[in-house]
Amino acid sequence: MNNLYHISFHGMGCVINAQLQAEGGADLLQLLPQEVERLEQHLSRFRPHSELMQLNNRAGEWVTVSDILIENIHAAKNAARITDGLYNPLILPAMLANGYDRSFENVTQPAVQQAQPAPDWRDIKLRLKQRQVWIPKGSALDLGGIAKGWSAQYLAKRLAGEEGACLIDIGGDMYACGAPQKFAGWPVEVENPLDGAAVATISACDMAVVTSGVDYRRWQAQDGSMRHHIINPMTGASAETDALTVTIAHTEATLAEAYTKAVLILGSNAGLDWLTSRWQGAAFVIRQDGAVLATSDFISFISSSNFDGGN
Amino acid sequence: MANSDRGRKLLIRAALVTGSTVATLFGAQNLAVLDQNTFGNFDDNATDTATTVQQPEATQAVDSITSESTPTIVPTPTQVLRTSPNIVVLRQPGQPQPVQGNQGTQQTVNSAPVQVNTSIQPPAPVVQAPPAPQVIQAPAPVVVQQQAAPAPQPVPAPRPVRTRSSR
Repeated sequence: MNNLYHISFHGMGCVINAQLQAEGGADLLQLLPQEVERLEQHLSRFRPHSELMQLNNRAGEWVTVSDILIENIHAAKNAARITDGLYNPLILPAMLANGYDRSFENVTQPAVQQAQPAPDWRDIKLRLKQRQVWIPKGSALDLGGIAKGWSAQYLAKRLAGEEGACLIDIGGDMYACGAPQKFAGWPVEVENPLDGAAVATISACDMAVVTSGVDYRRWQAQDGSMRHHIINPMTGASAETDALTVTIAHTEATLAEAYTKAVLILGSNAGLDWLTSRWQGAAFVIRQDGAVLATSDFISFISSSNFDGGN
Repeated sequence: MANSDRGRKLLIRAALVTGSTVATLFGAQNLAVLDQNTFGNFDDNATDTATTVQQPEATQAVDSITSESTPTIVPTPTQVLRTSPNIVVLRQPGQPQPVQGNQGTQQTVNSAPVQVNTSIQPPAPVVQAPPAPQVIQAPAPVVVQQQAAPAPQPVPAPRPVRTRSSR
């Protein structure tokens, strides 16, 4: 029986936690920060020389990119498709207009500009075999949570290998590959941001658990208005929503990420109605007024909760 | 003899016809008077009653329905319940304590899915760029110093991980 190892470090603008049970687990985990750094050099929008930013600087041209970047852009375009554009990877100009123009810890009362809707995501052209990308002139990609979800799933699968088990959490984008020995899955607690307590615990195995929310990364602009990082692509402004956090469990981390954004933007009732009308999946919503809603699929994953004193 | 009989019969017929005609006219007039006395006044009164009575009754009825059903249909918490069949309200808004009872608290209310406006702008005509792919510099492999990275620690059992939004 292999030992179980844990590591925690800072990367991709957040805290990354990983647990691994595999042969040579300690050595493999030791390499994880380096792997995350490598991915950031492809995917970060905060690094002027990242591959992503080089692509953005060439908007309006066909550009050949790496496997990693084209896979992420492909996933982002697919996420936009399944959410009818509620998730839109061309959100970067709107994000900048709202003042989120640098790594969040450095955002302090930024100047803001008039909000503009994001360009049409369908204008992103891909030639997958040639690894070529074309984005409209004047637009720019921000992969955001898609990159985190993709990275969590990619790294967890690589570290777990054929027989191991690995859980990686990149700031709310989590992927559980396999299950630790003698366990049915990895224990994942859904946190209620209103009191910091775990509101439910689920058992995750071979699936992503992604949480997005408006409870963090909020800032006050120079004009006094409050902004947050969930931008509605239709308006280009911070989404007006009654949802505080949305958690989705899905086999694909990038799709889970996209669904969380869509439900947040639509609001709890309309968002869950929209979600269940097209995907009978697992969703969990904590609203700003304290109400908690979940789909029956999500409830089936819950191993314990504080709704009934634990079960 | 025969002529006198015929004349008598004619007189009798004429009298019968005249009598029945007079009786018909008299009866019809009586009926008309009767109708005017009854239905004519009744219609006026009915109209007055409709305007004076029905309005308040209708108003009262609406008020009573609204006042009685407002607490159960319209309050804010029930807005939460207007969800799809497989959405469960686990905790009501502003509820400080966990809801007691697993089954009883799972309130599921059927409703039609809300029509949401998810339409987006139709795509603008695509300007096909000349197919001259540019190769950008993929990041070179970088050896990251491991000084800041903590060493993996063995743990006896899987540690519960909190899922929460990025921070």
